[in-house]
Amino acid sequence: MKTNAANPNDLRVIKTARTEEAINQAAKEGFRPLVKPVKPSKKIHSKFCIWQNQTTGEIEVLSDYRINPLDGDWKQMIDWTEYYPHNFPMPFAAYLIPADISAGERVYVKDLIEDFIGMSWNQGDTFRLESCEAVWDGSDLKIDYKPAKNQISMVG
Amino acid sequence: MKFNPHTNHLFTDDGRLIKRLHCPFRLDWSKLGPRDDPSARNCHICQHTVTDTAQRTEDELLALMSANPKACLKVDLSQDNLTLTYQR
Repeated sequence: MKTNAANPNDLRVIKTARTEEAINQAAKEGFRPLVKPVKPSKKIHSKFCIWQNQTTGEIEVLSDYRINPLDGDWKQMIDWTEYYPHNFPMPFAAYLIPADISAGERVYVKDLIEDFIGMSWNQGDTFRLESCEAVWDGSDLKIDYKPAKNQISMVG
Repeated sequence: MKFNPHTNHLFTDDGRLIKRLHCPFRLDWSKLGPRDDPSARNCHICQHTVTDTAQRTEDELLALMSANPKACLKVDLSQDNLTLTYQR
């Protein structure tokens, strides 16, 4: 597996497979799939409300309280509602562990299976952390998640 | 300007893509080095200039990204010239 220069400390990148086919293909290629359940966290949530034009039938989906309710022929059909905003193909996934990894090796997990909060918004929405460093302890990946307090800005 | 925190895409209000933000360092804007221009700071890791989108117009950001596609941007979810959307 190639090292990805885009990750913070130029660590070896651990990929994630999210279907049975992808996991088994990786196993055939020599990886050890570390299978995990995909468990949506109640801490991760977004919100929406739906307005519908009573003449045309078109809808408008709002996600930000700062957008004013629509005037005129628009009617709110669904009030502000929280939801889990991700839809993964299967309720399981696997980190693809290289055969030559050693206990204690620090790696970069590009596509986290677990839910961690990456960013929070003052309107209550919380956003999922996509990638994180981790340490292979010989049998499991220990995700090195450091929660950021009041993380409301993003650089990139 | 619109931002989708699920995809990290930053758009103009009329739907033109400005940039997909991606930085694995989870940088804290307040800890980036200052520049003469208060709307930008220095990234000590990549040596890139990071521009604060709160202090630029959409047209300025489009021009910036056109001139330098690797330019880095900073978005604050609560800034006045931004709304969040989950539709794009």
